Amino acid sequence: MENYFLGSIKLLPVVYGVTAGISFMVAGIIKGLFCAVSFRAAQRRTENESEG
Amino acid sequence: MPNIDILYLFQGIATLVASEPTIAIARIVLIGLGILFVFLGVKGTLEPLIMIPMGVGMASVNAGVLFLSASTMGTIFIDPMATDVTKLMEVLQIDFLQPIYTFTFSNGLIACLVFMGIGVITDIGYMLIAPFRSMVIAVCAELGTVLTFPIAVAMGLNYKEAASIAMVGGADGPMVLYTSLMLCKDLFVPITIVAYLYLSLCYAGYPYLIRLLIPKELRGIKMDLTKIPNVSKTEKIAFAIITNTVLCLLFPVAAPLFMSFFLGVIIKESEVTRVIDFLENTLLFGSTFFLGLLLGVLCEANTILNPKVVILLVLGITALLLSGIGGVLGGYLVYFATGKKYNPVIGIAGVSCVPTTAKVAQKEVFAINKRAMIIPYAMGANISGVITSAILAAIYVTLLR
Repeated sequence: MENYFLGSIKLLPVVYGVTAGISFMVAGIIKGLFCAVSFRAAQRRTENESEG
Repeated sequence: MPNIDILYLFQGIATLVASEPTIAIARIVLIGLGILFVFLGVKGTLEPLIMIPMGVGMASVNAGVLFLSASTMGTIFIDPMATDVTKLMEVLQIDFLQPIYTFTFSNGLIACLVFMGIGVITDIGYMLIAPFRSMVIAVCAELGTVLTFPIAVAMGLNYKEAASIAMVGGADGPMVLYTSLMLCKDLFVPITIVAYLYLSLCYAGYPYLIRLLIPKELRGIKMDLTKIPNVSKTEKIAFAIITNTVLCLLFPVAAPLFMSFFLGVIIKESEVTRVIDFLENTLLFGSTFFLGLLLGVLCEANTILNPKVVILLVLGITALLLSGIGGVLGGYLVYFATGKKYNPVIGIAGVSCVPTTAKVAQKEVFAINKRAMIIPYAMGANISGVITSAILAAIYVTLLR
């Protein structure tokens, strides 16, 4: 029984760690998307300015 | 005129008299509880969408017990234990709710349908406002989901049962249903009922937690709404499809949940009005109605008379309480990290009861400062909470299945 409980305690950092890791990866995807979109917008603006 | 045995005529009463005293008392208590749920649902104290059909189902199934043969008693509502193919085919033709149970409930489809509906009413744009802050709060608000697991094991539950009841901390009904169906089918009825019962009470309970943990002056902090970026539809759709694919790749066992949620989000953003209307109204409310009704009908005295139910009741409230505290701690963490410019009340919205906890947060802030608008940030934390809960469910199911 004690081993069973210790097993569940040992599982905690794995569960919480993986959850946090994947969650921040999802947040990273959002940030990455924003960066890509703003980079493209800036690129287009520069192209338009140079054409103009 | 033939002799009429009154008890044979009124079999609901006859079975009550013939059954063991414990079962008879449990049936009467459950009938009373069902009627109480209907009353509280109509009054608005508990969530009416779930509680009214659940209460009617609970009262009806415990009243409508009859003699199926000379020695067996049962109902013609549903037989959740029928697994043998021949028996199942027989039951499907007799028990009127069995087709819905077999084809939508026992395989988790109903949870996915509800999740699809939640996806279509969710504006993912809120989450894109401050993704890292929202995620910090959401991860902290999973404290109950994580800590309840060893507490449940210490109280005598096995790993699968412990993980299923710990998911109540995620405050997401379909997620609890899905996890408990995947991990411990014999306890999924009481666990899901405990979850929906407590989730209905979130609206009433969390304001006290906020008032207890956050002083008045911090509750009135105004959030800067001028810094909210414009998020285009393309960005929202791109985020939904990429995140969905990545999460399905990482956790195939929860892929139906991820797919359902993000499909709803993409349909909303693609503005296919007829499908939106179908998912938002017919599918979401239809699924919620049958979810409530089936849960009620599954509340037979034999199923509920499980000594583990009391433990589940204690663990359910522990999980929600710990998650609420975790969420507020997450709010404080972001408050200090941003130089005291963030309202810590938003933390409670990390508990993913969409949109209840976000509404609770806004209501508490309004009570102190009528000019403080936090709802966009609270919704961001709320939606992040849905995603972290789904990730946690996927981890539990993958590790323990």
